[in-house]
Amino acid sequence: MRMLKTRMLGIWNRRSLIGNLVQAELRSGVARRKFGLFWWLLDPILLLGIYWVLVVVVLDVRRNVDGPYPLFLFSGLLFWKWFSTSIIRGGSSLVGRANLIKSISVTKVAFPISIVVASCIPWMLGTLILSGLSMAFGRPILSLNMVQSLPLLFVSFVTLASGAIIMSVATVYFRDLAGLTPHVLRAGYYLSPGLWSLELLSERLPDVARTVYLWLNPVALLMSCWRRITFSGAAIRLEDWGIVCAQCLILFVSSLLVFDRYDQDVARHL
Amino acid sequence: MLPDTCKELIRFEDVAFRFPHTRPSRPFILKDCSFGIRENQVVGLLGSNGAGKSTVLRLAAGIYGPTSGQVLRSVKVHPMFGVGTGFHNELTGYQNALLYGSYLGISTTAILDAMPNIIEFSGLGDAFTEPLYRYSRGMRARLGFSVVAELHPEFLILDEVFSGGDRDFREKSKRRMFELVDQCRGMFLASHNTALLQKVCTDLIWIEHGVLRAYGEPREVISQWENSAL
Repeated sequence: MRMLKTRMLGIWNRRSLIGNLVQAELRSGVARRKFGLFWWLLDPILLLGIYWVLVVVVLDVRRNVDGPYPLFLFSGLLFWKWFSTSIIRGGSSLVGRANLIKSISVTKVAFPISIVVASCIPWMLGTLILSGLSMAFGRPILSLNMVQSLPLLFVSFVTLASGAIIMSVATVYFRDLAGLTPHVLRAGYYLSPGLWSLELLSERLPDVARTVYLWLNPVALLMSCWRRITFSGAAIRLEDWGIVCAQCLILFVSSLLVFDRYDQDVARHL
Repeated sequence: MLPDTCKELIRFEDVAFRFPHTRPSRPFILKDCSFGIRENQVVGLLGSNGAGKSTVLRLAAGIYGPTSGQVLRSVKVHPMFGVGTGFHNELTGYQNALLYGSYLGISTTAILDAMPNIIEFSGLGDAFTEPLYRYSRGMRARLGFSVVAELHPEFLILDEVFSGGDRDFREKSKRRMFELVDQCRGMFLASHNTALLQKVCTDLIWIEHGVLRAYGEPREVISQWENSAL
């Protein structure tokens, strides 16, 4: 317990480093590009276009979706983009800064955390646009249920940051993860409710299997919760809140334990 | 941590260190290394390339953890290795100074307060607001050292820090470094420049193949080291 407190305090004390890293990440991400900040929007919109052509025009496999399918797709893609960027870029954040970590006694955990914060900004912007589009399509999202987005943002951030921290340490010891992760994530997207609705699982799987799936895939439920707020304007079920909070807590404690165990040893392996 | 009553600021106790994938001919980079650095001591590290000098400095700075033994510190150490490492090419000199300062543990407010000094010391002028991809290697070194010069270190650890920039800037940074040394409670540095070590250090450590060979008065240690090379 004392270790957790010390580690959390350590992160809090380096918040100005995290802030500067986030600014650096955001600025260098769009520098020397003609469309600059617009890439934050163009990226998910281009992905949306590709998936829409594939799923709706070519395969025509949209099912079980109550509402405009492009918006449904967009709501899933936005969160997936935040998640995948956090895991891929956060995962390589220590290996990519090997020289720095071997030169300065720096709080290493700041690197994956700053990636998650930086990739959250385009997601937030995209979510605002999605909410506007949903309203334009007559979706009932402007309700008291929107209040849930704040605690859900906190839970999502902690979950993704914890995942990025664990991946950043794991990639130092298993460099192949850097090559493997994008492929696993691509498969993960099809296994998560990005193209299909989570309700489809209730129709096709027994309750036990559905519960096991939701516990094994923390992103599935987070994605679905965000969709309930930004696409359906519905309240998140209490049962779902319980699962996402428990997953968040487990991942958070695990990530701090991992970092505490390997923090001193990481530089030796870089 | 060392107890407050102890006069040693840093203590190595039977420290051994190895990298995960070392050569079979030399599995340990450092073996059974024990020594201490007391208050107001300026200790230099001497040894040939690959002797283990940088590893000793990184262990002293807490960047590496020892494989066995322990490194005890009773002082906040400020390592300066590869000044300017971690710069972003796409950011301006100003933005990089802000970022590099926070890597070194300086608060954003303190860096912003010190920014006029940093700009002046670097002598970069208008280039300070230009992106780093337009900088030469010397300009990068100027920027890095100008941020470092704003540190108020308790204990400095240096590894060949005077190598960047042109001759004038090297002299200027040397002068600033000596000022920093005066403010410090101690210093630990490595260099191949024996004249510099003799001028700056109160004591020298000679290390070879990961083994501590001598620790004592600079002239004596340099003479032992030079004789061994004959």
